[in-house]
Amino acid sequence: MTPSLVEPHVHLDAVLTVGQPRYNVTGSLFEGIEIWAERVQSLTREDVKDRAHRAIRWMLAHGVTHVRTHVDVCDPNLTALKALLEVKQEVAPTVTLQIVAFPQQGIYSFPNGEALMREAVRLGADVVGGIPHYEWTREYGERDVKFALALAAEHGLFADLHCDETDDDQSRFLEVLCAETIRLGLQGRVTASHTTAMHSYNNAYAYRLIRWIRQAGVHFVTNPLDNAVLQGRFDTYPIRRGHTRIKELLANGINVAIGHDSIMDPWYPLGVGDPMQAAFVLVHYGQMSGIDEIRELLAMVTTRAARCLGMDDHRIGPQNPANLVVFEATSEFDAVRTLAPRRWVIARGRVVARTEPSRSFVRLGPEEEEVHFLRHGDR
Amino acid sequence: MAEGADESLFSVDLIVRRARLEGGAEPVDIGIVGDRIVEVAPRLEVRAPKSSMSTAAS
Repeated sequence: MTPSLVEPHVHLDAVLTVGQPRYNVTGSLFEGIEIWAERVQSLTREDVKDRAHRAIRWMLAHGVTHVRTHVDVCDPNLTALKALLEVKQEVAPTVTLQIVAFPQQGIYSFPNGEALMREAVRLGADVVGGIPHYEWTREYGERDVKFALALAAEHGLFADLHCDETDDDQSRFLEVLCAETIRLGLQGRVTASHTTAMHSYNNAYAYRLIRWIRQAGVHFVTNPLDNAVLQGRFDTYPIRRGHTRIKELLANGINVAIGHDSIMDPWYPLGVGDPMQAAFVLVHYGQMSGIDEIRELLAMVTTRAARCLGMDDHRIGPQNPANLVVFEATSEFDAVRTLAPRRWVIARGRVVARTEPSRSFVRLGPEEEEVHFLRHGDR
Repeated sequence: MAEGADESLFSVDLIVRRARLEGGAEPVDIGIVGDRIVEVAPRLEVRAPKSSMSTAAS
């Protein structure tokens, strides 16, 4: 049993749109953004709500009771935002949604970007987003970060920016994010998502940067599913893995969580809304196969993810909220290894999801026998 | 948990029996009232709860 799973980074407005209007042929982040810009043209309130509700049910079945979703606000009508604000109210008795005003096309590289961000906050967005590395210029990118954090500070909100999601080692907006976090006194309220460029920074710069990160108390969300397929697309060989420096961050006492990011959308075509799949991939791409590291992965989809959302009491203990998950597994190791079914999910003291584990049988001799995928004696 | 016989009985809405926590060697019982965990202990003696579940596999 663990605290319930927390999804700190998903895009509910884009879920289940893969192939609409076309598939991402190159598999790059940038083609994904182009395809999404086309799909946005046909968004309706009903379309967004139907897909979001479906994905939330998938996640709840996997033990997720709290979700931070980004929603694209580069839309003069803010259709997706308004739809997800309705969804937030509709699922509130069971699933807590935090909505991030996310400027997918940039705040300064999209018409009226600042006004749209302000309007999103006025309508009820919980978190201010940003995307500095996608802005047209370095200067626009710096303004993106500064505007987002100032807006968060002005309204007492959290901030969660897509930051340096590129293989470009010259993309260095994280230092701006840390400096502004410190300057505005937002320590503990800011999350840097992706930060894949850290993978390519030289070690001297990364060492200096990590000192500012610690001082700023910035949380990190790494998204192993999307970034495993999106990064390194411009490399020949060797091809970089393109994940942030997870081990170094953890070793320096910095909070790192795992996000699913996309579920069947232009950036990542697969997924069933299970954070454990993302954790499983990170074992491999993050080389986190040590026994203690495998245990840490569970914290990265539960308690560590909760801290990003400002939930410091997301632990199993007296007086804490009764948000729990029972895995069909006898250890953290087997929960990750087998992507164990979530037998029961408890949200706010109520059983809100259950899974009947499947059973497998083989026949090598005259009798059929059941297979449990456990070593003898582990059950 | 209160000491004594009858006084030790908890009133809970839901009790989860024999849950094995992360890093925990021995299974524990978890008592829940409303939306809160009220007690985590190796063995909880409770008044008839509204519902009870045993995590046999965990």
